[in-house]
This record gives sequence, C-alpha cells and structure tokens, in this order.
Amino acid sequence: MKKLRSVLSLILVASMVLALLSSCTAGADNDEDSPIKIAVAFPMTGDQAEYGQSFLLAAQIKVDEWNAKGGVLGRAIELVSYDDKNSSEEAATIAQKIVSTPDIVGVLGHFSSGVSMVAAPIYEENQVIEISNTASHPDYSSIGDYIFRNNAVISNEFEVIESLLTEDLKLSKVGIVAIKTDWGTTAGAIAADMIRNNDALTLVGHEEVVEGSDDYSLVIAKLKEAGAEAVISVGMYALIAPLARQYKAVDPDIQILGLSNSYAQQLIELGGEATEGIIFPVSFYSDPQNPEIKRFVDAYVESFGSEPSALAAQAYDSIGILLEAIKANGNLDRPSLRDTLNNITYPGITGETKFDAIGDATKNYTKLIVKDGNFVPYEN
Amino acid sequence: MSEKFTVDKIVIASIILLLLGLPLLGFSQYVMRIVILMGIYTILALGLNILVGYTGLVSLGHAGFFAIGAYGTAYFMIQHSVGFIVALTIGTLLSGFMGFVLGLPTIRLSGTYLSIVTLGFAMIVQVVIMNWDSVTNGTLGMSQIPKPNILGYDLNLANHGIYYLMLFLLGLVTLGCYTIIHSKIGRTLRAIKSDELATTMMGIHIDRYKILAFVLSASITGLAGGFYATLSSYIDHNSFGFDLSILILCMVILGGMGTIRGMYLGAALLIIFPEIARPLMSWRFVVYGFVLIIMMHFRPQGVLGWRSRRKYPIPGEVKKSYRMVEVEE
Repeated sequence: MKKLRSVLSLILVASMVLALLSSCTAGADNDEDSPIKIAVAFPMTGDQAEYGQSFLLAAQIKVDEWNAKGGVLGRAIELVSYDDKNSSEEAATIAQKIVSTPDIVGVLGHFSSGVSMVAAPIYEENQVIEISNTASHPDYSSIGDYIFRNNAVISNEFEVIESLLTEDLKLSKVGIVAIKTDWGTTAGAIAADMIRNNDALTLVGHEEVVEGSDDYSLVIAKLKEAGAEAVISVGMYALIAPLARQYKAVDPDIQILGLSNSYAQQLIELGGEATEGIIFPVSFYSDPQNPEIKRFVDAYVESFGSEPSALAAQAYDSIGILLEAIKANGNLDRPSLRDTLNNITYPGITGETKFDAIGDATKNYTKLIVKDGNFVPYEN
Repeated sequence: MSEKFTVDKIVIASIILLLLGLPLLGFSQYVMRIVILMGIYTILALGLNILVGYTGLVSLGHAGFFAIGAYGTAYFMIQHSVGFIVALTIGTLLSGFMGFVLGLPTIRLSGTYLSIVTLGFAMIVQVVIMNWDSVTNGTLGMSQIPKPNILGYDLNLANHGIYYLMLFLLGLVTLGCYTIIHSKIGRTLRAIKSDELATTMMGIHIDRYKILAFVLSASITGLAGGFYATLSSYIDHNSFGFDLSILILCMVILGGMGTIRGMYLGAALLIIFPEIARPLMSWRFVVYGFVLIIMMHFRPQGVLGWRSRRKYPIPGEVKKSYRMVEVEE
C-alpha cells in the first residue's frame, strides 16, 4: 500500500513536469491563417485585479472593432491574457513565457512601474514591443527601444496643476499628500520640486501616507496648522475620496486637487458631497459629444457596468496604435514595426498620440471639476 | 538492505545526471527560469525545514530573512561594488545574525506565540525596507542589480551560468542540511521537537540549540535571497510579503516535514502547479487551495513524509557493550 502511494506520487510529479514541458514546446506556427497575437499582462487576481480586468476589456473592445472590419493584414487579431498578480517575480516569468511564444508581436502591460521595469529588459532583449498604459516611473521608457509608454509623464500633469494654482485659483500655500508606493514617492517628489521652483507658490508640507490606511487626520492637522490653502492628492481615488471627506470636515474652504488617476466613478461614490469642487487634469473623459468616445464608453459600460477610467481609455488606444502601426508597416518584421510605431501619429480617444524618441507619448489635458456629483470641464 | 541501498544510489545518481544535463536539452528560457525558481524555493524550504520539520518551531516570518539576504547582497553589490561571492556571503551572514536576534525570544516563547513574533518580524522588515531610503531606496526598490560574475565569467539565463550556480548552491545547502541532520545537532533538534523537558533532563541546553536552529535556518534563507536578488535584478518591498512566508511553509508541509526529499517535491509542485494552471486564469488559486486542503485531509504528513525504514546505524562500541550485557544475563 505504501509502495503504491509512493509510486502514485512519483507518477503525479512526472506527469506535471511533462505537462509543463509540452505546453512550452507547442505553438510557434506563424502561417498566414493563424491570428496575430497580442499579449495583455496585468494583475487579474489580487488587490489590483479591478484594473487588470478593466484594461483587458478595453483592449478587447478595440480588437473586436478591428476584427469586425476584417482584422489587420488580412488576419484576425487575438488577445492572450496573462495574470501577473502585480508581482515582479510573476511578471518576469510571464515575460519569459511571452518571448518564448514567437507569434506574439507585442505586449500591453504591466500595471505598476516596478513590475513593468522588471519585465521590460526581457522584452527589449527579444525585440517584443511593450506598451504600458499605466507605468509612470521616469526611467521606464528609456529601458530600451521596444519599450513604450502611453501614459502621462507625471511632470506634464503637474504643469497643468501649476497653471491651475497660479492663474485660475490664485492660491499660494500648497500641501502635498502622497501615497507611499514607488509611484507616489516619485510623483510626490516631482510635485514638491515644481512648487519649490515657482516663486508664486510655497510648499507648506509634503506628507506620505500608507495606501489604504483610512485615517488621514494626523496629516490633515499638520497641513492645516501650516496654513495650506490647496492640497495636491498624489494617489488613486482611494486616497483622494477619504482625504477630501476628512479635510472638508476640518476646513471646508480647502481646495483639493487631484491627478488624472482620480478620474473614476468610485471617487464620487466614496467621497460623496465632500468631493464637490475637486479639480484635476485628465487626458480622457467620457464626453458624450464625441462619437468615437461614446462608442467606446457604451461598449465598456455594457460589459463592465461602470464608466471607463482614463487608464482604461489609454489601454484601448494603446492597442489601437499598435494595430495601426502593424497595418502601416505591412508586415510583422520586428525592427521595422518598432520604427513605424515610433513614427506614426494616432488620433485616439485620449487625444493625438505620438511616441517621442525614448518612447513616451505626450498628452493634452482637459481640466475637470466635480460639480453636483458629476465630472464637468472646468472653466474659470 | 544492501539491495535497497543500491537502488537509492542509482536513483540519486540519475537525478543528478539529469539536472546537470538539463540545459543541453534545449528548453526555452521560460522553462529554465521556472526550474531556477524551483531551486530557489527548494533552498528556502530546506531552510525552514530545519525549524519547522526538525525543531518543531513554526516560523511565519521567513520572508523577512529572505528580504534581508536579498537587500544585503544587492546593497553591497551596488553601493560598494564588491563581487558577487563576497556580497552573497555578507547577505547570508546578515540574515544569520538577524536569525540569532529573532532566536533569542524563543527561550521564553513557544507554540503560537513564537509564530506571532516571527510574523511581526517579517512585517517590521518590510516597513523598514519601505522607509530606510538611504539604504533600500524606499518604495522605489533596488534596480539594476548586477548579474553574478565569477572569475570573470558573467552568469546569466542565456549561457545557463545562473542555472549551474543554482545547482551548486542547492547541492551545497542539501549537503549541509544532510550533514547537520545526521549529526549530534540534528539528533538534538529532533529530541527538542519530541519532548523539550526530556531533552533538558538529558543535560542539554535546549535554548542554545533552538537559537542555533534559527541561525542556520535564517542563513540558508538569506543565501537564497541573495541569489534571488541577482536573478531578478530588481527587488522591492512587495516581493517579500506575508504570502511568501506562507508559500514556503506550504511547501514544507506539503512535501513532508522533516525530510529532505520532501522539500524538493513540495517546491516543485507548488511552483509548477500555478504555471500549468495559467489557462484557468483567476480560478487557478481556487483550485490550488482546494488541492492543498484535499492533500492535508488524506495525507497530513505530506506527500513524501514517511519515515526512513533504514535501520539506525548503531555504533560498534554500543553494540559491543550491549552484547556484553546480553552475555552476562
């Protein structure tokens, strides 16, 4: 009996190893009929799963649009999705898996900058195009030629906030509340520099908070004591909503400013009335006047149940620009496809997108304000 | 007995041959990376096994030691540009020292209370990493950690250098564990697990041995951490969370506590399974948990957790005196 068990366990292990090996050697046919594959690698499980699921959906909507028109280069387009759990270890493994699959031409991903930066060198080495719609670390896109970013470079966003503060609102004492993550630390430091370098503005406090801790009263008391007139929230809606609620309770006149990633319906749901008057720059908002945007938003809402964020719109555009580049290039030759992608200008729903020499896309911003529980364009 | 012994030898020899020749079979870098990860986790499981499997102390904080090893190695390689071997040694020693520090409370604590202290330790390590900007680069993590370079050769995935380095470290740790377990120290640790009071009554300072077990376990874990840092070339605080500690513990329990062969199997199963199950997407961890529960119900001692049936080799002197007693009777 015992012998039987040990034999059984050996067989089990052997079959698992075999299954792993066989799954890796299969595939690799690149004939004319097989679909063109694009990988989508995001956290699909865990804390950030909501983002991964929404980007996958946005990408799928774009692919469906193209497939309805007959695909690209006469071939259908297929998305292959991977779950990186927002862990750099998983991402490196996935990147190896993707580059070992020769018919994948490009990757949309990964979510956080740190994770993207672990995977990027692997893509670069194997000439696989990576477009991240979320990474914002300043060094990300300079990792290599095949590494692109279709997201706001954070310093451009702060230029909008700077003009908002000095020209529109005419406030001078500014505090910063940033989340303590790789992104928050970098973005917070850039914001602090921006304020220090502007004579019209004074930095009254730069506080870092742990993401997800819901009590910010200590930080608020400090900033209020220092006489802050405006506070820049460097974080997702999960920071700005409770921050606004708690700050308005202490100081109803405070002007709270956010960044483009505050743009999510959950902001208003979480923060309620306290979010009234929050202003932030966005590269995308669901403008019902624009038919392109309306088509995307309708398709998205139908499947997801809520309005798309700016990041989801950038996922949609990233797939769009990649497919446009494949079409313009006429073949799937990696180096020439890379050059084509670097040279085309793509009119997307997040504005005109064009990658610069190191692979960053410049974005145009609209300012939004929360008014009567809705996001509306801000006009002074 | 001798027949069984040769069968064992043949099996072990063929496994070693297979491992040495694996890169020649031309697997993709993806497969090689998985194999290397399996090696790292086997080392981690072997390290934790000394505590959980042999001494009976459950640690939930091994991610902390792993992080100290990784950050120690990375810091010295980047900031002081020392060689890989020196940096890895420093990382291992640092981790071993922290093992000593964490081992001290074991004199007073046992059972669940000890586990909670180790859990807290791992949390503290993570918070320190996040805030000690000048050394750990805070939440930005340490990037561009150089690949190991030994005697002028760069070791990487493509030339399989990193694979052989993993094999070397794994062999070293396995041999080390084997020697420790079959020495006086190993027997003492098992005695402590079985009955602390009886062990004390035998005239053994159990505190010293418990601390020693912590130091050994932490050093091995730190070694794996240092190697991991150079493999992934980027580390940040997210890589060393609570779930890592639990994963290592799962490997030890699933493979079979208190065995060396079990650590290999436990690490292999728990690394391979999520990879094979990748097409299941978000369901794979549900299945994963389900498999673990089923396993624990039907085979609580772990897959390979049977006792060796080989007879304990009683030293000649003992045998002789035993026979003399028999004769007298």
